[in-house]
Amino acid sequence: MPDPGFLLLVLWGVLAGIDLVSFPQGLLGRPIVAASVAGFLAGDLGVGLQLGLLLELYALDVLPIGSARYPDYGPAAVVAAGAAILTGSHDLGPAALLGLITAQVAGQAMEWMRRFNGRRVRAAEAALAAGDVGILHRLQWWGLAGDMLRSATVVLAGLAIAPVFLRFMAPAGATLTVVLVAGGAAAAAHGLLQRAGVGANRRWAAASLGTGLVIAWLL
Amino acid sequence: MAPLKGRGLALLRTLEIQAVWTYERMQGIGLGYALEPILGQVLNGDAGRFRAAMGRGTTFFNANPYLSPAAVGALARAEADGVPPEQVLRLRTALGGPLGAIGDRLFWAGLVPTVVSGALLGVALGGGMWPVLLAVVTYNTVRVGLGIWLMELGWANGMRVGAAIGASWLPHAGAVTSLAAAVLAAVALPPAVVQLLGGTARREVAVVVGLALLILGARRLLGTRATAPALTLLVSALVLLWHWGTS
Repeated sequence: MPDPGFLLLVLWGVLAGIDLVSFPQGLLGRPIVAASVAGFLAGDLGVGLQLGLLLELYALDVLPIGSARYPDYGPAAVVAAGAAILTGSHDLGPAALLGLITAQVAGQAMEWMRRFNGRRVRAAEAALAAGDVGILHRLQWWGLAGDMLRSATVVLAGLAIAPVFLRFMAPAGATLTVVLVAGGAAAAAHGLLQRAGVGANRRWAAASLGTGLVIAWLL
Repeated sequence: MAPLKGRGLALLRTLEIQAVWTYERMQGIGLGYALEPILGQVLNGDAGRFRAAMGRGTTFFNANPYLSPAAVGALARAEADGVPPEQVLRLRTALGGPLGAIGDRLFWAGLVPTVVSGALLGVALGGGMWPVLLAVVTYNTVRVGLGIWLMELGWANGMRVGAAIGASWLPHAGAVTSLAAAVLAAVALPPAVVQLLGGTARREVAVVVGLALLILGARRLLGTRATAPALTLLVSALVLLWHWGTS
């Protein structure tokens, strides 16, 4: 029988996955939230927080607007934290790299799901135009179920390959950590530049960056 | 004006407005699903009108999901008032642009990065899980409160909802939240990086800063497809090849 802790981790991964667009879009799929809770469930909150911190830097560069395509960091953060803790991996880098790859795959799977949903809706066009509420309910529930299945598959696949992946990456662990943190800093800085725009906002952002540097110096 | 019945369930359903997002109708199916509880109440007893309204209710719609309760309230009111179908459809189309633009700036470029950056800073400063929990609770309280207000605003104003939103505080809030996001993200970034590199030598911090600047520069040179994650994966692959080649 599967370990209840592992089942909880997968269930949390599903919730973090469907939070991205399907339900309830309540920040549960943000890496800092998803990885922290995953860390807590897997027995090491500290590792969860660290991986959440790192993957969140990447997510700060995402604007999930309309038909834009973007990685899904929610289930990826659960995979990264769960994998690092369950395998006892010491460096952040390999687990974060697994998370980054998982996020790309989960984002691509979202694209496939949208196309699949499109086919189902086209097949139901006549009934929808006639105001058939039964069809509408079925579409809605199958849409949600499809996203749950997508998230569960991503989490289970990610956790399944984790032991081999992390063992393979372990010798380069420290270097990968440096690379992944640098990539995260670049992503967050890019998101910051976009949000700050031009003019007064950019000056405020520059002054705030200075404040952040002082805080970092004092840490 | 009659009280808005079925709004609790409708509001709950707006939380899953994108569960059947498609390229053809975008949020149309989800909006119809959210409209149903209110239309079921206000058109109670008139099956023909209800089915016709539901038929219109699932057509194309695209806006920011967090502002969709305004559209639900307004469209339900228009159907309840017996507004001609073509005008209801025009309202549906007209609402998408403003609700998308205002909501995307308010939430995606403002509130989400603000709250998340606050959590990042709290975690980087050693606050543990508490900043994360505070971020989730704060965000969802604001979001649900705004949803209730927007649905009432839509129901109260019906076809005039666009003017009502334009006259409210909402269009100006995005400027404040996006500035807050830029400020908090800028404050949080350096402590977060230092926290992640905790215990490492200054030389490694310099390598991280140099590599980050290199990735930013490459992204600028190579265009939008060369995202930070893509470039990070590329550098990681090169590191692994070098590592395996020399070991």
